[in-house]
Amino acid sequence: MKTLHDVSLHVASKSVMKKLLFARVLPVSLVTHEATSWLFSRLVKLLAVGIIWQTIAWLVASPDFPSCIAVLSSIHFHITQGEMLLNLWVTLKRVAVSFVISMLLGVLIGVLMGTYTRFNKLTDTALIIALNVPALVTILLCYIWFGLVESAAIAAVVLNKVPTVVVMIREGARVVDSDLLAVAKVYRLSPWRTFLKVFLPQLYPFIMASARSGLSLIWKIVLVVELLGRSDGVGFALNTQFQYFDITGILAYTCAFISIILCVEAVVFRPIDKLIARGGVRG
Amino acid sequence: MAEINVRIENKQYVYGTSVLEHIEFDLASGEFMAIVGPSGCGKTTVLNMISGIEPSKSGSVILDGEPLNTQTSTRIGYIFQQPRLMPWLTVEQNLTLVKPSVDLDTISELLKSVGLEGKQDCYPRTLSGGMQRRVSIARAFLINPKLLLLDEPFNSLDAPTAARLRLLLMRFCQRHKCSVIFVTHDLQEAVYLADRILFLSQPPSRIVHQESVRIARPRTESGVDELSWQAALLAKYPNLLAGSVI
Repeated sequence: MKTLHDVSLHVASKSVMKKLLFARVLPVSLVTHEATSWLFSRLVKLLAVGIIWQTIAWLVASPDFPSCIAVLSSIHFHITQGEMLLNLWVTLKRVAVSFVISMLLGVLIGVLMGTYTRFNKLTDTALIIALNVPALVTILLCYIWFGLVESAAIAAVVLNKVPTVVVMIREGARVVDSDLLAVAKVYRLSPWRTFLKVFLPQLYPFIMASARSGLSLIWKIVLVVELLGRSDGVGFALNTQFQYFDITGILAYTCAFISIILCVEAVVFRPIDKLIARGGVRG
Repeated sequence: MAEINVRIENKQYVYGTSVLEHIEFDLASGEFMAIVGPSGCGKTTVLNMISGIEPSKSGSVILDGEPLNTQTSTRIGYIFQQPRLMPWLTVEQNLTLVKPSVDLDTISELLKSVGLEGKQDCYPRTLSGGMQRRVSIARAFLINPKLLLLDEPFNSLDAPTAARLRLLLMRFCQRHKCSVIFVTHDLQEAVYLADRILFLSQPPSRIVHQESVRIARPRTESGVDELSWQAALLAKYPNLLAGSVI
């Protein structure tokens, strides 16, 4: 039986862990409060969707439209008996790596294009072409050129995502307030300090928008990449379910991954969003 | 010897319009000089060239006997028409932005002296227009400027707030003993604040007249001397602010 001392130690260690985790990144209250309330409202909405889904499935009564409860059971089965957790982890890793590389490259190129007119003129056509090349073509080409390897999969996802990040960041860089940059110039801020403290914060709303749309696009592309040329991950698992026409299994994997993305949104994006909005960057 | 020498020849905008024909003046150490002129005559452009915001290929700015270098000269304060505070930074962060090495006690003292005690952690959007101006004044004086540039800083404020900020500004200027170039289109304000007034013509601008203000300090904004001096100046040169050549 736990004594009062044990409980207080447990609470204290949790609090220390929170501080260690977030003190340098985000205020604790922002992370926990925001995430909890947001998750709660989302759960209520998800519950409503689940009820509607279950009702429609009951009315349709077809094996092609499995019920919500059947899908939840399938998730439980794949987690306990199958390899769902492993596949989710592999896909999540690919999404994370592709996301980070795409955002870094996209922000860099976008800032250069938005700031330097000559660079923009030079690369504008290439950007339009990159935006309009079908994702499937890029994936196939990457696999043909680099082989069915992990780096080819990541490269394919990055090549698909970077142009959309570039477009958003370029528009942001174009509307950066030159009056604020003039302040940096007058007070002789170093170029790096000017970029970090004056230029970049004005791009935060654009970075957040591209990050959000990026995450949703990237995980979809990652699934296609896995379906076409990898032997693990959610995409590969979906392909296997498809071979057996297991609609319940397909929906189980889809729902499981969407749940993870919703958690990422609640724990990462929302608090950052709130933090940025505190200074009124978003008006 | 003059501390600051400014010479601008035929300054043109990128689209080819000539805005400043010939501007040349000296500024003594600790002198408060006002530049008055009609709207669009390039008053702000003069300040932007001195501060390094605009390239000064068409002229030179000599500070302490050396050409102004935008990378190394660090002692110019600039109070703009708008406060231009970074909205994503708190008051304290806005101040440390221009001088990272400053300690928190100095910031607290400075904020207290501008009447913003305890506002360190406020974001600019939570402050009134007058408070934001005070922060921009504090920011300018935090670097202990040798030269202070003022671009109609009290323009859009209500009269009592503007009067309070003028007094605050004068107090700071006297304490820091900095030279000041003050741009305004309000002759009364120029007479109240300045030791010398330069009058610019319509663009392409040049200096059409300059007048030393020989009124003892402390001055009052509605003082008899200031008003009669201003009236006499306008009577003597009736077209001064319209930019006619004298």
